[in-house]
Amino acid sequence: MDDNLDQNSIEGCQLKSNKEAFLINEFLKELRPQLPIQNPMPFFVHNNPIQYWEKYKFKQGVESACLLYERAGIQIDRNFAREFEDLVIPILASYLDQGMRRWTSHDHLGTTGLWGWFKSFVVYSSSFKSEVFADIKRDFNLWSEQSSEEYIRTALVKKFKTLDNTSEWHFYLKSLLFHLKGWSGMVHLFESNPSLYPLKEKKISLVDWLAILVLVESKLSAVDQLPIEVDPKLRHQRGREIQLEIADIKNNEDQFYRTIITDFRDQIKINRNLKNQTPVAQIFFCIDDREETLRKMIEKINPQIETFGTVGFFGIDIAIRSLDQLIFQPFCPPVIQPRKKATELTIHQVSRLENKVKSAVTAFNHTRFTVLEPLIALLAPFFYLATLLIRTLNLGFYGWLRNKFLNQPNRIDDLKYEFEDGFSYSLAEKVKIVKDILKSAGLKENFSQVIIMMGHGASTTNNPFQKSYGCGACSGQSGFANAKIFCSFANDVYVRKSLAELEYHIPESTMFIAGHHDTCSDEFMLVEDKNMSVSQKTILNNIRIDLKRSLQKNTEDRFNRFGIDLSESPVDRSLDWSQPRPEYGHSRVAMAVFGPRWLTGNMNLSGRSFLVSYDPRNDLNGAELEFVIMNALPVCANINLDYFTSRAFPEAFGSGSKLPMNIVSGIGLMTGSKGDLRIGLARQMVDRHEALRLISFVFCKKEHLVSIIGKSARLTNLVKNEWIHLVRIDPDDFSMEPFTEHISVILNDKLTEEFSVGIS
Amino acid sequence: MLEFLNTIQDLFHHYEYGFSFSPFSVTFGILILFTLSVVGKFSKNYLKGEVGAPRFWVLFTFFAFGILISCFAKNLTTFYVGWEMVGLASYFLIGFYQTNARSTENSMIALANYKICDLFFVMAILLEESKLHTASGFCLIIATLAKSAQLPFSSWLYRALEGPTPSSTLFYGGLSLHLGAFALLQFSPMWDHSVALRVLVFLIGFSSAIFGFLVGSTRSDLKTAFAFASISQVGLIYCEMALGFYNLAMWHIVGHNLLRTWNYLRGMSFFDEFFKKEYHQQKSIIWDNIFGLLPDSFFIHSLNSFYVDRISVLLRKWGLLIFTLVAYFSLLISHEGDLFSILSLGAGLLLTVLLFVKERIKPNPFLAGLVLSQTLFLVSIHTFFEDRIEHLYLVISIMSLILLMVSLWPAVVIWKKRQSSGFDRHQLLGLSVKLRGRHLVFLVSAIALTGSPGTFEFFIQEGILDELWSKSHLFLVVSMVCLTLNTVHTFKIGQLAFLGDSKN
Repeated sequence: MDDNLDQNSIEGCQLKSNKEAFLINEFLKELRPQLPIQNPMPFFVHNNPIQYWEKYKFKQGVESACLLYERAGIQIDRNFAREFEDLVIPILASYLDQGMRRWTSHDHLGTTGLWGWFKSFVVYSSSFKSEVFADIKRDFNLWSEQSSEEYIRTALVKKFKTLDNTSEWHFYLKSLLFHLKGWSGMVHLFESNPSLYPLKEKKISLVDWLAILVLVESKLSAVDQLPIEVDPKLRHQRGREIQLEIADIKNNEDQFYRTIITDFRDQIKINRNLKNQTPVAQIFFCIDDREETLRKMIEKINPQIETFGTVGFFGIDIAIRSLDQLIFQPFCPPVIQPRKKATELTIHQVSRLENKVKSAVTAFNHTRFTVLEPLIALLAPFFYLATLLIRTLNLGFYGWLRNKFLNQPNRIDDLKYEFEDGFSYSLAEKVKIVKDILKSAGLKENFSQVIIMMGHGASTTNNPFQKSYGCGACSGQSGFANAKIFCSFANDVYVRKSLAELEYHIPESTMFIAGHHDTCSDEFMLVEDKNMSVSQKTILNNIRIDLKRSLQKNTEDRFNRFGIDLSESPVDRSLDWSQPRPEYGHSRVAMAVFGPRWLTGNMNLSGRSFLVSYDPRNDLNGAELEFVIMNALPVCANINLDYFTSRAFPEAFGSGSKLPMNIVSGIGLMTGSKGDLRIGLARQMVDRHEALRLISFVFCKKEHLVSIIGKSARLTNLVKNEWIHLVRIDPDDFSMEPFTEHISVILNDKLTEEFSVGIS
Repeated sequence: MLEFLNTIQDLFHHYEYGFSFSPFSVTFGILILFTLSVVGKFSKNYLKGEVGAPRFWVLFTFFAFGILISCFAKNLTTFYVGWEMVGLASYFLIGFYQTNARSTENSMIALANYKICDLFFVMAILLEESKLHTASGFCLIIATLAKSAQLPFSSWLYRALEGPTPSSTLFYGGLSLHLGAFALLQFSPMWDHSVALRVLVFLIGFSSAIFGFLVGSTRSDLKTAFAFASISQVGLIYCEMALGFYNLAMWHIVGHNLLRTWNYLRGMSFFDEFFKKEYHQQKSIIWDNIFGLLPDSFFIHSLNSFYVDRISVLLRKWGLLIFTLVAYFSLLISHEGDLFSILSLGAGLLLTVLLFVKERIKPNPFLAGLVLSQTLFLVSIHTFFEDRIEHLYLVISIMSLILLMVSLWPAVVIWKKRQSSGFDRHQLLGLSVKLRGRHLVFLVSAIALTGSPGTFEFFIQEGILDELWSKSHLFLVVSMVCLTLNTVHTFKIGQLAFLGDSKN
C-alpha cells in the first residue's frame, strides 16, 4: 500500500507539472504574436507592428494594442525598474551581438543558448557586482539544474501557489515581457526566423529570455510583492482618450475620403480617352507615392511619354550581394522568398590603389578596433581635421571626393550582376517575368522605341533608417539592380522570340533601358546599352532633358509640400550628415489606385497615392489582378500602417527622437546608453505625416476582386475590419462600390454582401 | 547697499582672477573654437524641430563660455570658474530629455562625481595659497579625475550618453573630457616636482588606459564603446604627462579630440559599413589570439566593467562618511570653546552624510531637504554672527532657501497625496511640464546654493574661509564637504519634483 501511495504522489506531481507546463505553453503561444514585429535594422522593412490585432475591428484593435504597448496605467517601482534593466539588458545585448564588440574570442560561451549563456555569466561574475546579483549567485545551485521552462514553472508556483487562477500570473509574465517589449519582440523574431540574423546566428528562445526576467525579478522584489501594479482607472481613462483620438482621426479621414471620391467621380466623367498613337517612350516607375509626382511632371512636360506603375522589383525575386558586402540581401517584397542569387560587381577593374584607399578610410573611421588608436590619434589628426572641415563646410566638395576616391555612391552605369551557379533564371522564367509585368500594365502592343524601367532608391547619409527610404517592394534596397536584370531579360533575343509566340510582339527597334531615380537627391541616371541605334540614342537624350526638367519641378513641388526652403539643394540635403530629415519618405501617403493611367492622369494627388498600372480589358480570369494585388497591396498597407501608428501613437509604437539614439549589438537602436530596443519610425520621419488609413481604388471586375481578397486571410482581415478601405470602380459603368462601412456611408451605397459586417 | 558692493569688490580682489596666453592654452583654445564651430553647425540642422532646442543652445553657449574661461585662465581660481560652469552645463545636457527617468538619474550620478572632485579642486586652491605644494598637487590630481573620467571616477561617463548626439560629442568626445588633462598640463609646476605624484599620475593613467581598452572591447553598443575608448586615450595622455612629455600630451589631446568628434558625429552611419568586407578586416588577428588566451572569467569580469560601478558607489558613500567622521572627531578633540556651535554643526553634518550614504532607507526627500537647509542656515549663523555686513549673506541665503521651498511646495503636496495612496516609490513627479516658472525659480536658487563662483554660496564659502582658516583647517574642510553634499541633495530634490514623466 505504501508503494501505491508513493506512486500516486509521484504520478500526481508529474501530472500536475505537466498541466502547469501546458498552461504556460498555451499562454506563451497566445502572447508571442502580440510582441512587436520589427526586423533588425539592417533588414528594416515597413510592416504593421500590430499585425496581430488585424483580426479585430480597427478601433478595438488599436485601442488594445496601444494600451498594451504604452503600458497604460501600469506603475513600476522606479528603483526596481532601473536595477532590473541594468542587470538584464546587457546580458541579452551581448548575447545577440552581431560583431559590434571587438572581443569576439569568447563567443564560445554563447553556443548553448541564452539560458546557458546566462548561467556562464552568473558562474564567472563575482558576487561583488551588486547585492541582488550576490543573491542570484548564492542560489545558483538551486536554479541552474533546471531548464528554463522548468525554472519558470517552479518560480510561478512559488510566487502564486497555484497556476489555476490564471489572471495573476498571466499579468505578471505579460508585464515582464512587455516592460522591455522591443527586446522581447526581437527575441521572438529571431526564434521564429533565424535567417534574420545579420551576421552571426545564435540559438535563442523566448522561454529562455522569460526565465531570466522571472529570475531577476524574483530576486529583486520580496516574495509576496509585485513591483508592477496596474491602476484600472487610469487604464480606462487612457482607453477613452485613445478612442477620442481615433474619432478625431476618423473625422479627418472622412473629409479626405469625401474630397478624393468627389475628385475621382469628376475625373472619370471626363477622362475616358484611349491613346491611339504610339508614344515616343514608355517609362515603368515603381508604384511608390514619391514617383507619382514625377510621373505627373514628366507627362505634363512631354505628353508623348507614357508612364506605368509597376511593382518596383519588376517581378525579379532575387537576393543580391551588393558591392563589397558580405551577405545577400533580398531585393523583393518581404512576402516573397527570393529564389535566385546574384553578386554585384563593377565593370571596371578595381585598382589596388582604390582598394587601399577604401581600407585606409575604413581604418580611420573605426579606430576603436585597433590598439594603434593612440598612434592614429597622434600621427593623423589631419585626416580628421580635413574630413570635419569638408563635411561641415562644403558638401559639394565632399560629394565629389566621395565619388572620385571611394566610388560612393556606386556609379550605377558601372555595375553588372553575375548570377551564382545554380541560381540563375531559366528561359521560361525570364519569359514569364517579362510577360507578367507587361501584361499587368496592359502593354501588349504599341511598344515605343525606348522603354525605360526606372528603379528608385534614396541616398542618405548618417541615417540608421536608410532602408525605410528605399523601395518598399525591394525590401528597402534600391530597385536599380532589378531594373537592370529585367532589361537584360527583355532585350534578350530568345526571350523576345518566346514572347512573340505568346502574342507579345516586341519590335526589334524597341530597346529596354534601365534607370535609377534617387528620391532624396532627385537625381537620375539612365544606363545606355552598347547596342543602341542612333534614333534610340536621340530619343534617350531627349528623355534625359525632359527628366531633368521634371525632376527640378518635382523637387520644387516636394519642398513646397513639406515646407523646406527652396534655396536648399536636394543633393546637399542628401549629403548633409547633420540632416535628420533628408527626405520625408512616404509621409502623407493616403491612397492607392489600381487601374489605367488615364483614370488618375489629370488628378492632383500631391504625392499621396500609390499608382499601380492595371488594365482589366486584357484580364479575363483575374490572374493579372491577382499578380498586382498580392504583390502591391500588402506593401502599401504595411507602409501606410507603419506611418499611421508611429504618427498617431508615438509613445506606443514610435521610436522617439533620432537625437539620443545609440546603435546596439548591430541589430537595433536604443535611446541613451541603456534601454529598450525601439520599434517603429523616428519622430523626425513622421512629423509631416497625416495619420489616415489607406483607401484603395481598384478598377476591376467584381468577381475577380472578391475572390482574390477572399483567398488571402490577411487581406480579408484588413478589409473586413477596416484597417484599410477598399473601393471598386466598375470598368463598364464606372460606378463605385464600397467594401468597407465608412466608405459605404460616404457613397450612400450598400456594402458589398461578402464584406458587409454588422454595426459593431 | 554700497557696503555690499564694496564687500564684493573686496572679495574679487581677495583672489586674483585673470587670463593668460601660453602655447598650450592657445592651442587648446583654437581646438575648442574649431570643435564648437563644427558641432554647432551640425546641431543647427540636427536640433531643428526638437523639443527643448532653445535650451540646448543656451547650454551650448554656457558651456562655450565656461570652457574658454578655463582654457585661458591665469591661475587655478579663474580655472575653477570655468570648471564649475562646464560641470553644470554637463549636468543639464545629460538630463536634456527631462521626461526620461534614466537620463535624470544618470545626470545625478555625473553631478555627484563632479561635485566630489570639485571639493578636491577647492582644497587644491586653498593649499596652494598656503604653499603646501605636495598636498595641493595631490588634490589637483584627484580633482581632475572626475572630469576626465579616470579610475576610480569612471562610472559616470558611459551612463552620460543620454543627451542629443552633439552634446555627447562636445563633452565626452572632446572638450570636457580633456579639461582635466588640460588642467594638469597647464598647472604642471604644481605637481611635477614630486616623483611620488608623477608615479601616481602614471599609475592612474595606465590603469585607466588598460581598463578602457579591455572593457571597451566588450561593449555591444556604439556610444559606450566610444566612451571607453576615450577613457583609454585620456589615460595615455596622463601617462605622457607623468613622463614629462608635455608637448606630446598636448598634441595627443588635439588629435584625440578630432578623432572622437568625428566618431560620435558620424556614429549613425554604422549600418552603411557594417556589412562591408573592409569593416570586418579591421580586427587584428594578433589581438584576437591574445584575447583568446585569457580565461572565460576574465571576459565576464570585463563585461561587468570590472565592477567599477559598485566600487565607485561604495567609495563615494563610505569614503565621504569616514572622512567626515574623522575630521569631525579630530575637530572635537582640537577645538576649544563654543560647544553649541560644534554640536549644532556636527549634528547637521552627520545627518547630511548619513542621508547621503543610506539611500536604501528611502528617506523622505523633502525632509532631507529641510535638514540640509538647516545645516546651511546653522553654518551661516555661526560664521556671520559678529559682522554686520555678513548679515547680508545670511539674508540672501535665507531668501534662496525660501525661494527653494516655495518652488517645491506643489511637489510636496502631490508627494504627500501619492504617499497616502500607496504609490510612493520614488517616482519622479514630472512637474516641470506644468510648472515651468517654478522650475526656473528652483533652478536659480539651487544654482545659487551650489557654490559655483559668482553665486552667493561662493561668497559664503569665502566668508567661511576667512573666518575659519585661522581657527581650524579641518573644520573648514568639513564645512566644505557639507556644502557639497548640500548641493547634490538640492539637485536631487529638484529632480524628484520637477523632472520625469508627468504621466507617471
